[in-house]
Amino acid sequence: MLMSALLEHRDAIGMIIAALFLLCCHPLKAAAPEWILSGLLFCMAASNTLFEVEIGGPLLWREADMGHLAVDSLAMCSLVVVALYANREYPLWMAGAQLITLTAHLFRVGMPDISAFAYAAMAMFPSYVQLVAMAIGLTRHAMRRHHWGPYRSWRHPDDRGPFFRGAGPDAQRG
Amino acid sequence: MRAGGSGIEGDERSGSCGQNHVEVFRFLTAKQRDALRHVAENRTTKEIAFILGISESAVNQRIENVRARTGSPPRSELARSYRQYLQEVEQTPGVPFAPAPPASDATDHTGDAAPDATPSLPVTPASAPEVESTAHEDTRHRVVAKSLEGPNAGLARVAAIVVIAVGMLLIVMIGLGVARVLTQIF
Repeated sequence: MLMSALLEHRDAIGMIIAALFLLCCHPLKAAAPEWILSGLLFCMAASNTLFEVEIGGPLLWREADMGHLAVDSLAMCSLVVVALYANREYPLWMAGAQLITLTAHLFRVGMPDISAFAYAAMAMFPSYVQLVAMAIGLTRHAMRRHHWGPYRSWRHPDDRGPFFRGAGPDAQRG
Repeated sequence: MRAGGSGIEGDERSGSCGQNHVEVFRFLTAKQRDALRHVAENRTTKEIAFILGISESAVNQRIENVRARTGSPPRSELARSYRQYLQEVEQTPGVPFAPAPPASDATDHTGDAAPDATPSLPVTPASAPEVESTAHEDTRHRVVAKSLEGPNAGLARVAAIVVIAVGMLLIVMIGLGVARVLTQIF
């Protein structure tokens, strides 16, 4: 019952918690990765909700929800970019969870006869992992900021690839 | 910026940085040395701020402190002078350095609150003064695992994402398997 409720109201729960993260970002002096990821979580939940309201239900193709697949694919790209270049570890966990979600959609497209509950669980529960990772990341950032003061938000410029070297938010404000 | 009357140009021509610069450079704080080392590598303030993880104004403050004590030379001349000084130190083991200030400066991570050492401090020979403090700072302020930084960081991070995803799936599958077995038993 609890699992069903968590699956059914995933977008609403995600949107509320992500909004709380966004509200906490300013008082906790969050840096760019925290702002970006909190905003991304909020946008994911909001766009899923908007999509279902606009379409009036899931847009199915081979039993897979194409609306969620599109949103999750875009989110995956954004999460991977942040995970690759942020001077943080928790985006890796968020991207890992998103990878599970994306895999679920692809499995469903490839094998439409897998259990609907298994598909829903695999596609939706990772978002709770992301919320937990975000909460831990935000808390640890606040602790580091308190103890160390401002520190780097992104990888060392010399370690970045040629595309990002010399670009991006260089001077970090903590 | 304008050239000050520090006599740097004359010293450059003679192949040695000025004696008063040497005196100033010898007594730099670790933070000032960090900043100046990057200035000597012709890095911009923005780049130095990023590398040291501090604000641009803090970098400027450190550099300005040194410039003020060396007669306000232009930044490029200060860089050249410090480069020469480092070369002289490398070539002449006997060139003394003042002892580095304590690294555990809890009051300041952004600015340069560490007081400048006065020339009256005892001068002791020191070894490898220029790289150590930055490395120390990096170690103290390490946020991600060492394997997730460096030239292969991108590859390592992609691998980490995949490992995390597979690991989470395995944990869930094992958990479900255990739950199923327990349900059958009881």
